[in-house]
Amino acid sequence: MIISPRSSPQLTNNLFSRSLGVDLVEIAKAKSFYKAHAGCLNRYFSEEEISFIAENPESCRKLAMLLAAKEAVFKSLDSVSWMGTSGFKDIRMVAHDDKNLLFSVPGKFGKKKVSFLKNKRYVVAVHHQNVGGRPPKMEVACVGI
Amino acid sequence: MAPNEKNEIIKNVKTIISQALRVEESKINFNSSLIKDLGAESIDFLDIVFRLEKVFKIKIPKGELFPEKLLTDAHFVRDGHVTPAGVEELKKRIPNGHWEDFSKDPSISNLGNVFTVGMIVDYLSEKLSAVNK
Repeated sequence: MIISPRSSPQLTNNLFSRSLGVDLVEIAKAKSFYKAHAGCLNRYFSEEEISFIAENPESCRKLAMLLAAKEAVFKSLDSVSWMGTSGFKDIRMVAHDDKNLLFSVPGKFGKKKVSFLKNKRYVVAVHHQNVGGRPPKMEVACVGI
Repeated sequence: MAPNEKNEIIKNVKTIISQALRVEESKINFNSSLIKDLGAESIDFLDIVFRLEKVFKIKIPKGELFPEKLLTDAHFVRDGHVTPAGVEELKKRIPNGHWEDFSKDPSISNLGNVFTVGMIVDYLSEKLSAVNK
């Protein structure tokens, strides 16, 4: 079961106080998006992000990872639940190594590590930050279902 | 704008939304909510914007079709809810939105539900009229 602020806002607000963000992207949808709009990606994605997608033979899966991770980060960090199209531009991802990404959100945090797991059909991004008196601890994982 | 021009816009918008959301055109009407009725997700909003730009040969600046900046203004948003002033401002910008339900519970998490097919058609009608003047 996937619990997200969008599907169960009351439940997630009570349980996680918006410290958890979850998003699922179907790889087929990312593939269709990439096929139709590869030439427009620079309007919402940085050069590094486009390189991350383009330099990999699994471009569509990488795009799905970026989209899911951005949405998950947004859901966990912001009190605003409508990300809009600008959210894709504001949250930046850079490749860390083969399996991990770093993300940054202008004015909020420095670069933080993002980890991924995925399967053939879906990418699920889960971003969790601990809130309270301690400095925020960030973890993002993408798990296949 | 002539009625046949608006009908052409409606027809093209329905086709675009059908392709982007993989929904049958027969299930799409003027008042359909993109999220609540047609199941749109964030990636779909980008997809729809890009498709509209290609088909109508226009540029849609960020935040112009789907309002975003308004939501960072403390006068319009407080404690996760759109203030009465914010609701009024949104209604002005999106006259064809589903405002009845939203006004009862103006939580920002409900905002996506007000975005309708009709809102896109009206936006394009105004935009194309301005371009053709």
